[in-house]
Amino acid sequence: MFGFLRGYFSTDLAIDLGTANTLIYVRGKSIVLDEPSVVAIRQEGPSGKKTIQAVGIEAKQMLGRTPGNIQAIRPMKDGVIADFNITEQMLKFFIKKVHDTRMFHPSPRIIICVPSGATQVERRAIRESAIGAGARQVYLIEEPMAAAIGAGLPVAEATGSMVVDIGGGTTEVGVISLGGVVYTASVRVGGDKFDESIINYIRRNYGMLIGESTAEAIKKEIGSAFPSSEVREMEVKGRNLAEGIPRSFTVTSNEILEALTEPLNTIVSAVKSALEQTPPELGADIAEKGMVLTGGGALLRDIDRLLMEETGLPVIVADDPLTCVVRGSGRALEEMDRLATVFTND
Amino acid sequence: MTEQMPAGAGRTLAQAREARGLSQADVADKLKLTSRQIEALEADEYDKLPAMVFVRGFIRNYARLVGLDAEALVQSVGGAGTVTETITAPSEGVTITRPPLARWLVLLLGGLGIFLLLVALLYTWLKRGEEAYVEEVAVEQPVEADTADPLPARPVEGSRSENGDLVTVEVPIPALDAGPAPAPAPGQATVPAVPSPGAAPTPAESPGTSSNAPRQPAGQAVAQVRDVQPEAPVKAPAGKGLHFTAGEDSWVQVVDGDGRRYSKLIPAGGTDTIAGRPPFRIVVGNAASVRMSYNGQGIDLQPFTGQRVARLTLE
Repeated sequence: MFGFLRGYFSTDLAIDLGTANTLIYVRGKSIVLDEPSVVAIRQEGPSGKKTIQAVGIEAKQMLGRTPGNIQAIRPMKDGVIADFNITEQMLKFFIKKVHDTRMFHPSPRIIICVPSGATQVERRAIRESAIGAGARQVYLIEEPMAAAIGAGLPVAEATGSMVVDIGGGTTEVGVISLGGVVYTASVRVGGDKFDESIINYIRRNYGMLIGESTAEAIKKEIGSAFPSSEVREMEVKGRNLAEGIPRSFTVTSNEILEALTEPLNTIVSAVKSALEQTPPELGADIAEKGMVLTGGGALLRDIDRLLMEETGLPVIVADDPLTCVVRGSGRALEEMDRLATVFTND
Repeated sequence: MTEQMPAGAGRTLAQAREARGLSQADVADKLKLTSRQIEALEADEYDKLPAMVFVRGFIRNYARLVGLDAEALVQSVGGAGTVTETITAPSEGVTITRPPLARWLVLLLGGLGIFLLLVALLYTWLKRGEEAYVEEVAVEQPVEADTADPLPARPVEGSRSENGDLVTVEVPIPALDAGPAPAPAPGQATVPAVPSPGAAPTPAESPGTSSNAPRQPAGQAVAQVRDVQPEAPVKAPAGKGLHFTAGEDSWVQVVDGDGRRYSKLIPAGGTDTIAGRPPFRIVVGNAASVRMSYNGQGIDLQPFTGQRVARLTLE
């Protein structure tokens, strides 16, 4: 009822609700929040009520280290909502965190990103959870479009631009021209799959069990997507499956490359299939300019080399790839009226 | 676009390439670019290349290939800094301190304050207006009554004696209740109609002594009333008109046949008499403690009394 009034006390937000990280851009400001999409929940008693213990960075540190009554949950999976209520609570927490006002419940207009491959049900779920978290109005924008805007590609011009956004849960491939998406594909492979592959590889080859955080650290430290002459090593600690005792061992970058081959191949084939489906005129533009990598996956060493060798096209990594999507959504927010066509209608 | 670039970037890349013994074709092959694009990069001719975002990417790739610090070169090309600046640290303690909303709050509260002030002013103004109206009626009534109805004598019955013991009230003359009042006999009634506050007993006695109306010419009487008690309302001759006696604080409101309105507060023990033409529309507050008579005939207010207020029309 007082939505319009509360609107005065709220600032419009663009949210990149990612599998790994949630970023929030505030209209007229910049990115004000960048936290892991993790919620820690404490259960009081066996059938007691559940309360939120921590959200974001604090909760992520608990991941895999929680006692029995606390559960650290990642409510997003593969770019979409896996746990509706927890996602809503997390969004509510983040929205409140970026609003300083105490007098009113914030009721902002929100632009929120969805993977292009998200189904109607998944989109609906994201929209509903944002409304449940207090949003007055929710606009959805497809991630490839947001990533392209954020990377600074000339999306509104009559020239084809190709963007590959490798996120935590999904990889989005999009070809964009004249402010619209010409082709888009989404594969459910991303940073999480890389971690998973590393865990599996180490269990298979070393008989050691490592956690998700360790796998992520290995990926960041010595992970690479293309063989290079320089071989790097890293000491890792994990539990020996046979003995059941924690042990330390050393892995090399070549081993990790081998571990990552499978998910990387999925990405490469998604890119190739996108190029196949692209109309020839736009294909020519892409051959001239190349494709742009965004998202956290673009930080994987030599992933641009891999795509360059596989496709024979120039590949560049966007400036600050981690925040491209939210910056793009932010620009869409700033120019909401002018860029009306970039929002999806459903 | 070209002029804002320092000439260095392309030359540095070309020198590094030559130092490694690579040809432009080698680099083009490695970076999947055309030789034309490599030439343009080395000559800093960025207008022959796609948008700056791509140029920065190309330079970054090229620099990495020849083993140079990519970021320094990209910075020297310019433009990238504006984008990377928007990265922020994790959100710890990052909140919007004073959004422009505060201004709205001030406006809202200010508006509310002004509104309340206006309401208060309006209220006091209306209240004052009401009081002024009541006073006005009370003051002008004697004059009006005087001029409008000069014929009947208007002896004043000293009712407003503040000593309270108003014997005069008790001496209505029933004989006078029919028709217009007889002409006064000037000089006949020697009893001063208006008691001075100090000499309350005098009027109390006088009606008792001369039973056929202590009267005085109207003008004189009114003048006397004014002299002594300027706030006194219309006085009817004793026993004539409407007469009220209040046991407790109460009020009356009377509208007579001419549409004149009388509003009076009667203190406890006070009396009041109102002349006018019937029919009277009468409202009496605290009716239980008020006795009313009209031309000497007592009227029982009981049947007309609601909760505390009696309303009746007297023909």
